Amino acid sequence: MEKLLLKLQNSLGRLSCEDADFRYVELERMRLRSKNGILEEAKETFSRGIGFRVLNGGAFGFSATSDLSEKSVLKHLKIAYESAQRFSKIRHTEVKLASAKPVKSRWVMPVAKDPWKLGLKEKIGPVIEAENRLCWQEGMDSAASLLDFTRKRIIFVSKGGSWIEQVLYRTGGWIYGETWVESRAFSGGGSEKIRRSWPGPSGLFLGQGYEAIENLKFIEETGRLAEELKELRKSPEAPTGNFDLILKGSILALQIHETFGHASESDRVYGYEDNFGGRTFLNPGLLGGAPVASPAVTLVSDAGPNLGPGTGSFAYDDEGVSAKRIEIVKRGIFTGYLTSRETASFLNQPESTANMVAEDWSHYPLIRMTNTSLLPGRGSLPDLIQDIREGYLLDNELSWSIDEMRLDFQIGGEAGYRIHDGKIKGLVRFPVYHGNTLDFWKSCDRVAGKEEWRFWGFPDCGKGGPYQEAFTGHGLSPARFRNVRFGRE
Amino acid sequence: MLDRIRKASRRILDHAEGLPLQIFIRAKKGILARFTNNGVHQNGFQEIFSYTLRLLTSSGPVFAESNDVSELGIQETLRRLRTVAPDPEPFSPPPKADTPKKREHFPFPLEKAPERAAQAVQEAVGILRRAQASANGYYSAYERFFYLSNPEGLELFHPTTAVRFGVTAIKGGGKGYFSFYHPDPCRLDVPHVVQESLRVAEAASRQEIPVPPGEYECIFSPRAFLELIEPLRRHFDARLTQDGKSVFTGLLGKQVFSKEFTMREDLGHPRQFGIPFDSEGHSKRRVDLVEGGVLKGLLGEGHSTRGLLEHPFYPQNLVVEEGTFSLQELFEKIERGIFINKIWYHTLVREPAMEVTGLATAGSLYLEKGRIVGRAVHLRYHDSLFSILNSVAGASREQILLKDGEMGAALFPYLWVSRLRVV
Repeated sequence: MEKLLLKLQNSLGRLSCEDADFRYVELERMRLRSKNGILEEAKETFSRGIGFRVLNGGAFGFSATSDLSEKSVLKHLKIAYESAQRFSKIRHTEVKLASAKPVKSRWVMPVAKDPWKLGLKEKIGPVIEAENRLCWQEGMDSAASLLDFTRKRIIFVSKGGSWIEQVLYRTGGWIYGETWVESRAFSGGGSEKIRRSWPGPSGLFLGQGYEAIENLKFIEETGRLAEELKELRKSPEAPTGNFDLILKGSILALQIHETFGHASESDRVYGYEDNFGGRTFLNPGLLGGAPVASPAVTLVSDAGPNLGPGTGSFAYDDEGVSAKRIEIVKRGIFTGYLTSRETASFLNQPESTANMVAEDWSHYPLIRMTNTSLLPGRGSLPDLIQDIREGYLLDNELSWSIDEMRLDFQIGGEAGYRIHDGKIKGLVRFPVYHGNTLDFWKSCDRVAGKEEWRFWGFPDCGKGGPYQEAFTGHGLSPARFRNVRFGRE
Repeated sequence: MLDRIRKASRRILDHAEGLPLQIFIRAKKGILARFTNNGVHQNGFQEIFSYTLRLLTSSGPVFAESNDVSELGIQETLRRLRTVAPDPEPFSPPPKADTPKKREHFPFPLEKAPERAAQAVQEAVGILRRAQASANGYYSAYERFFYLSNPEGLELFHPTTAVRFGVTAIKGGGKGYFSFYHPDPCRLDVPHVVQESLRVAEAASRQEIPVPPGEYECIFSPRAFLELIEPLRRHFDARLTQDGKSVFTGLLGKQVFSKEFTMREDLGHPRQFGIPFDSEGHSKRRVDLVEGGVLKGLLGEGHSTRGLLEHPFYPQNLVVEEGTFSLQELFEKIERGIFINKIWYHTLVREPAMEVTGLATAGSLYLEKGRIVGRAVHLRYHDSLFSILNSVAGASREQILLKDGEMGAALFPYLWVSRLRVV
């Protein structure tokens, strides 16, 4: 394979165009689904191929193939070149790229336990055990889990002289217990399922190997899940009204992801995502001076290793730019976008923020969140709780919806812990809160400290056409928001 | 292509040494280009070939998928499959039945796909510029092949082509979306799609009408209605219903929706397109799901999507029965209401009542006394799908063909609903 790639690197060098690159990718994925202690479905996927991107006459062309014969790959390089040429004739704005230093590098994400070196039973044993423990509980209807492992080898080669090889791992999973309760959703009665999941309904994904699953301690969590489900059978529904809110874990990761995470993607400023991903309320005029959150809020994007093993981590993005930390919101002020080499140039920035990621070899890279994290403040979760007279603590999301500018949102939780006079006083069912991104983040009066910090992450952030999914990490400590609207009248 | 696929299938069977395998092969070639007024900003020509091998075990199916058709690649894929399924069980062979004949493959000059994409974008942008509008859109043209085989001699093959073109026009603060899909690329009429999107954008540009919370009459575009009912679709699974896990459990034969609403799973409809066999090799057949609001049928054999989609049985070829009105006549029936052209971030909030929320976008118009007054801004709905479908009051004569996932299509009219709860 290396011989072919070297030949292709020479072909790139001979192209008469502004820029060109290719990515050879081998992508392996293994998903194990089990239910009530039985492996229900196992799916292993392997794909490899090559994608060429050419900038010619101020326009991009892209072509990808899984046929790795020399004839085929040269044909696809030609298709990318000629597509760019065709599209350059109908462009009205010339694409210019911010500079990127040529790099020769090899980086393998450090993992303690490579999931591909473990047997099936070894991998799935702990979750099967956890499911069985959940199923033994009185009133439990079912328990299920998912384990999901990804290993991706990327060789990025550019006309400018870069040759970067990376091996990335993404690992995560979830478990849930489910019970049926008398429904209060509609007057006719009937039953309704209630679910408690750990670490969240979409799982927790990290840039790690199997150790990520071990650290989730599925078996230890089953007791709490079962107790909470038991309590939820008798719990009231969450009320309507204004209350203080603490978000932690998966639901706070989602809140960050859907609001400032997507809003800070600079391709949305230029209308590139108008008919799918939407636009953004963060226009360039707000950059550097506009308060968009309270001073307690600092959000950063960093695919590097400094903050922890986020599932969006890498050493170089899919344009060959090295990972770096940028501040999106600094103490409540909007300070930066996630950019590509193209949008960095639009925004007169000297270099991109290294946020270009493609799902695999067959997709064009897009501006993506990598690890978008809320930096910690001070104190513990109990410190946040003790200052609340009447409020709720939410951990896991159940439903979410946000408008195309990333402003008006509504998010529902699996369950909520009621807080009264600084103490947790039981659970409520189906809490739903809603608000406006700016008002909501301006109402954040405190973020807990480093001792509560943890990385969360999702495996399936969708964007682009052809549609592609990305892993996104979110480091966070619990955060408190004042006077939030609950319920739908 | 069939030769290449057959060769790969034979090679897999040779290496499988009698394993009771099922082989599903997918191949895809084509282009997708996304554009704004400034030209194409994202594009990709893709040539993809992959195979999925399926084994049955006592606890459930096991899948291994790869695109490496070399001898070593096939051996490795089989090794992985054997590791997770050391004691596979034989599949029960699908009964011999005639699969519906469905022509979905039309002449498709693949090598000209980038050129055609550039021409379509250039034509669209020209019209939009002359109309002093801006836009965002996409053009895609693909040739796809689906093939299913097993060691017992089962061999099913379905070639398809498709062109899709969609435009969101923006004019004077108004937005309008319109799209086109058909298996025959020659049917694409770029100016028509652009003009339709412009027509909605111009209507939406008149004035902003904030919509206070309350109940409103609504007309849903076919695309918006297909998106609206998405959370209901998996519940038409017969096994889920039998297990008491579907919202339709116990409701078979009962009135669940308005008498004005009839929906079928019907690949045989003359205007429908899709794969004529399911993921287990069974022939697809028509199922009357809802007839005059009564739950009539559910999906079982012949509608399996196991290994291909998240849900094991999922409708792929929905047809909602047309009504008697023109779209203009539907508009004229609205005293005070909203035309919803496209919905955005639609999500299920609670399952038993099918409580959903989402927003209207890209050409949501406020209507009064049968006339368009302006664009409905900031429109979030929060309502039960049972309640919405119970209030279907009519449908348009016109039905629009919509691409629905990789393997199916939907044929929907414009739907008139007498009440939708806006929050």
